Amino acid sequence: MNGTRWGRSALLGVPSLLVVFLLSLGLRTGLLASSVVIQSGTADLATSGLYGIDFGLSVVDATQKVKQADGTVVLKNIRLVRAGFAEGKLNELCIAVHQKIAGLDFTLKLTGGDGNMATWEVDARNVELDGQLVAGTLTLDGVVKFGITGEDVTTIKNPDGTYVDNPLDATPSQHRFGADATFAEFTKVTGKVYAMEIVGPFTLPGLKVKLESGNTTCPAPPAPTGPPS
Amino acid sequence: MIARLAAAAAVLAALVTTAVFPDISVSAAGAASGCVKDTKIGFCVVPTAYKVEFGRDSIGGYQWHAYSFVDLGTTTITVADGTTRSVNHYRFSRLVVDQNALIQQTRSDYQMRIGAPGPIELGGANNAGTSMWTDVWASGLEFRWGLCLFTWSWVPDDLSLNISGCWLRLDAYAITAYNPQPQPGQRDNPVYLPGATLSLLGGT
Repeated sequence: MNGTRWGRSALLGVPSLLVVFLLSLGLRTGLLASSVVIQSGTADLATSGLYGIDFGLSVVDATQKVKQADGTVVLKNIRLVRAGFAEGKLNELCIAVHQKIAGLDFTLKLTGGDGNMATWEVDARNVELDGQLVAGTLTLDGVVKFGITGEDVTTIKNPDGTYVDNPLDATPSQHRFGADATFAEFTKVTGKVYAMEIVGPFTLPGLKVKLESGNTTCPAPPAPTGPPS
Repeated sequence: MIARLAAAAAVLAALVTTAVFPDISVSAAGAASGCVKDTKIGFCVVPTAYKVEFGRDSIGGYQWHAYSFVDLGTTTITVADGTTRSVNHYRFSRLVVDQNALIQQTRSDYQMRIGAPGPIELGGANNAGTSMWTDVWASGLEFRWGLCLFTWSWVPDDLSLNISGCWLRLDAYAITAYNPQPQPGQRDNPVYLPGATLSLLGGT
């Protein structure tokens, strides 16, 4: 994996905590110049389209922090589905995290995009998503594999052009279910995600981060009106 | 207003804390995969079979159609832990499922489901007019056809059938779908699952 891994697994499930880490603090002008990590207990994700080259998916282990009744925190092993793209494009994006702070409900919402369903305006490299429930229209192209073990899935490449071994951090001894495709396109995507990580250079036009009162949601994503280009 | 400011401050504090202290306990990607690849299939195959289901008994009527469905014979495959399985190698061309497609792996530590209400496509013809196909290595084939009156568990070896069925089930180890001329951004995909849901149950 290129770049620093900012504790994706260890921070899963931190109670009522959203981390939007703008690595280069590039919020200015609505463009992120570098990387983004979004972590939370769970976040609602909605996008009209997610398209990528060198797609992989695997059931993986993760560690969740769970707060006990007595206030102590214990670590619990859970399973998630992790999806990764070496190179990705997004058509609009909305992420909403519900927070309860001082007894009041808030929603922290990140939105981005150009508002044009015909364009796939967000370019990103090395995208990873962790979740337990994702819905949408899925198309896979090129060489498509179901039943490949998670540790054998490939997404990103090394500088010498070879594939990085086990890019999704699947536990090799478990030989859990995976899928792999040359190209993948998800449209009208909604889901509950535990983490989203974009390691490579990343631009998100129209980026807005808002704190809203109450529990608000992302609007249902409309279908794209043009293919990814 | 004070509560709102406090909430914003808490969030900002979280941002700063995490930015300053990146976690180093996460194992780096690149750990050796250490699995055994099957030489015929070309990748490491899960040792636990997953259920594949097209159509549903309760729906009735023909629900899946294959321009070509052929059993390429019984074969032995090596799965990721180095053990072997005796399976049949099936090949579908232009497979369309009108209702209900399900891929489901159930293990003691989770259940993974990819479901779609249909219609879905596996294989077809791409923009260049070239046929695409789907290979399945599986055991436990069962399908119902013939006015939904007969349940069959085999098809003749090496005989391509243009067939419609009511439902079909099998226990798969590996599925591959192949487009010989893929074009980025095109939608002539060998796997098309509109309205799909991917879920992981029992993992927590």
